[in-house]
Amino acid sequence: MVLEKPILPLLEWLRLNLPTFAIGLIGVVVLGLLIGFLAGALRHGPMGSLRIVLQTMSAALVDFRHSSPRRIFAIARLAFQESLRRRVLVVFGVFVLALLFAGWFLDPSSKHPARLYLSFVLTSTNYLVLLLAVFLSAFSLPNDIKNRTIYTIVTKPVRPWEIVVGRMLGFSAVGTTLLILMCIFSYFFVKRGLQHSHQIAPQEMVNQTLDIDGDSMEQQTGESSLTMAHRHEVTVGPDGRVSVSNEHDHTHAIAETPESSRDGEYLLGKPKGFLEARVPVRGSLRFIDSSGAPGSGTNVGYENKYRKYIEGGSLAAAIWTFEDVRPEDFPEGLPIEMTLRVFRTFQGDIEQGLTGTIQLVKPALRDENGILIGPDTSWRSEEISFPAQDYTTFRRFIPRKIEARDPQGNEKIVDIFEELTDPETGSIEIWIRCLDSGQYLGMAPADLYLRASDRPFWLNFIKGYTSIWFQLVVVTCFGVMFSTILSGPVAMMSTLAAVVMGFFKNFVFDVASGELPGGGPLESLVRLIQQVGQMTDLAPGLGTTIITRIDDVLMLVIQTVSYAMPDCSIFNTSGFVAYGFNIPGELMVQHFLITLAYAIVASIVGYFCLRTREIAA
Amino acid sequence: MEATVADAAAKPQQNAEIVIETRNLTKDYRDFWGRQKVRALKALDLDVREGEIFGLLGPNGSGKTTTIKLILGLLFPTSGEALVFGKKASDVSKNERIGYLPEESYLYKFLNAEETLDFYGRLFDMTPAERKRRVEELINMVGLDWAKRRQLKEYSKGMTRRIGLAQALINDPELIVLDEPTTGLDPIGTREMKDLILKLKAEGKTVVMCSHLLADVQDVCDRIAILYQGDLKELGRVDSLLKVRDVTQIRAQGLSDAAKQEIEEVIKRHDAKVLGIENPTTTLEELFLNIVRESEARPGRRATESK
Repeated sequence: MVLEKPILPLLEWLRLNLPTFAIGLIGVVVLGLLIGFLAGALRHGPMGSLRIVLQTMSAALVDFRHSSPRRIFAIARLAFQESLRRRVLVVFGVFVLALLFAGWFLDPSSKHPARLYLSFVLTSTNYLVLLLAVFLSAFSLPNDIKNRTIYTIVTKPVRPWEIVVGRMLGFSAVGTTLLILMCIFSYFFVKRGLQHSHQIAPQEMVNQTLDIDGDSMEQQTGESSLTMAHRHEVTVGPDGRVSVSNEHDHTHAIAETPESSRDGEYLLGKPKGFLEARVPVRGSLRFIDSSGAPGSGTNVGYENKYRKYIEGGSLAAAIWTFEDVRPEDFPEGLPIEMTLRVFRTFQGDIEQGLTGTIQLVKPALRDENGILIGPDTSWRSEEISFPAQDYTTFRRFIPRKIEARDPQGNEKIVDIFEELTDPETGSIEIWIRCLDSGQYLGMAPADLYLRASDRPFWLNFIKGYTSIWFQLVVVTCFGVMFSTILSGPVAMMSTLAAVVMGFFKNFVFDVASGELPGGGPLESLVRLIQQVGQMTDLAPGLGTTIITRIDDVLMLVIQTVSYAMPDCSIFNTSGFVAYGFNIPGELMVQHFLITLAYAIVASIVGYFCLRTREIAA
Repeated sequence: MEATVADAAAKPQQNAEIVIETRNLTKDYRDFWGRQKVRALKALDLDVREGEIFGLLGPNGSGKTTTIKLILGLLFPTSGEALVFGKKASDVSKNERIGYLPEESYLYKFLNAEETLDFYGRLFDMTPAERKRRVEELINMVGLDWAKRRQLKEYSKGMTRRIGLAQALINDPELIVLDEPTTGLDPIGTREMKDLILKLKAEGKTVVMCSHLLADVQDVCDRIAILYQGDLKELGRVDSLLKVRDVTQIRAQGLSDAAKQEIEEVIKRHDAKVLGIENPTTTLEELFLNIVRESEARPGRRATESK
């Protein structure tokens, strides 16, 4: 799974983001006051306008103080009833129908079926729910104004902000109801879709003789039947224990043994390992280049600079440093999991993966550039080799007792937590090298981690849906906000635009800041019509100058707008669920706070829009 | 004009508390670019006092509904101001004491009668017990007990009107603003509505209603203002406005034809004209049409409050 930015601890995240939020909020307030003042000044002159602005501000405070939960609840309830009577539950029907037909298209022979199923249900729910939120929230208030039902509301002691917040709550509640239904339904859909079993008859098993420490032992192996386009290798060891190989991201429990089974068949039970919520402990990554000096990893020429590569058969290494690794957390040893990339400069044996090695190293004293201070006095473990293949997660459990050598080269069996970890900081280094010379292994900080523990999958699934819920709330709030000032269809389009912009915020921002080649909107249009490539400069001249000047202004506007738009992509946690990682609680709290911030800003803007609006005009 | 007996009767009311006060209230409708399209209301000065039924009268487009919307804060005045209970029209807290029945009720069609009233009760922050009592009371009052569980979209116009009125009374308001209260009602419904308005007055409430149905206004209003194209044309007590001052009415019983002739001669001798005895006062309809005709001939402001 690609994790572009590390997840920061909550306090640090707050320290970084609170100022941004404050600046944004102040910006909105100042802008609002300015617009209000200018609009007023046109009609009442500057002094009159100032008086009106001040009155509006103090009235807003009074309104806020006099708001009543009962009224907000009444309006929220009305919005809920209105939605139900407008038959929003049809959306759930559409969803169920989509899932029923999805079975035809979701390829069961995929190597990662769980990933496929999970990303499908999460993505389809996400889009459906957001679309619903846009439609519900954008049309309600304009409809009320058009039908004039709003007359009977605003002539009651209802504060404008109660109308705004009540609606936000009501429509969020509608979305929540639907989301819960969808969540339950899709959970069982995924469970059922992945459910399968294999059989294997004893007569199909082949006897093998193993030679372990001079003793010859008998074991049986065989392949299971073909289900969902894969087979498992089943081994019955000398001690009678049955093990099932890991295929397509899962293995199986044994449901029945030959004794208890009627015709002596082994029946493999429920799939295991499909639906997981791994809790990774991540470390920081640094590189050593092929000469052995601190480096930054090789760029093999991919545009995406997320992963860096190390050269095989050289001194190059990727080094993860893990802090605070304690025996209490890992009593048995270190469970290492990694998903590396392979870059081949020649084809080699394509069936076989590249060979890499893992080595545990006690951290030595280094300066900030990674250069040793003083002599290297660190213990190093033996090198454990592993096959590296693209898109395959390699798991290795390293037991506490491991062979290691001290700086002088003496070898002995040591305890990881005694000789290989720093006793004070609990830090340990994991060195990855590639043995095949001329080939490369690629990695990013998130690619190797210690699998500390597992959380229940269903909880993670709910967390994934909670992320969708956050988006739902943000979009609803924006829809209601737009609908306080715009007519229904316009409010809907604006909200939709905000959502789309939110999903592609980074791209939009890059375009607006000129980071991407091809210029602003106008220049792009000219390029499209004239069929000029992005990298060619337009012919200089007056026309081009005018175009770029106009573009500068447009880009500034887009940039400003994109700041204010909700960034939906940050709420996307479907990757965590689909790839089987626990969504960190801290991330959820951060997302909750972001949602809250958007909701607050949207309700404040909505309040002033509705308050200064002539309802009956 | 000289003081009359009717004005003397109005005296105690003049000392009563002023509920609605408009000062120089003007409303222009503007187009998108802020250009003035139409002046809907021109410098209206009005006082409505506690306990009276005040009628706003005028043809379509005369500014009645605009006035009401300005008073309720649904529109913002271009200049001048409207005060209700001494508070600005934009002040939400005034709504605690107001009940408003809009022109076409404008209720949520997907709610039933009970839910509707319960919802509006919540908007007044009423406790559940209070709401339950009040909802039951009002549904009985407007006679919709038999249909209280039906969605409003199934209601006839008359029923909608009644539930609309119930909605306006949910908070037991001191001031009730009714926009065309009798439209869509059959004669019996109209009669009931009028009786109800009079009953509200008897309870000491102030009622402001606007209508173009003259009979309604004549029957219930204490004072009226006649608007025409945004101008206040006439303002005063209904009975004094309708009094025909240069006509003397003689009522007698059992006069013989000879006696009648004699009286006629006496009148003629004094250079007066006999008009007939059946029409003692004009009707509001006549007064109204007069004003409209006259206004078309001579535009502009005509009247302030008749003393």
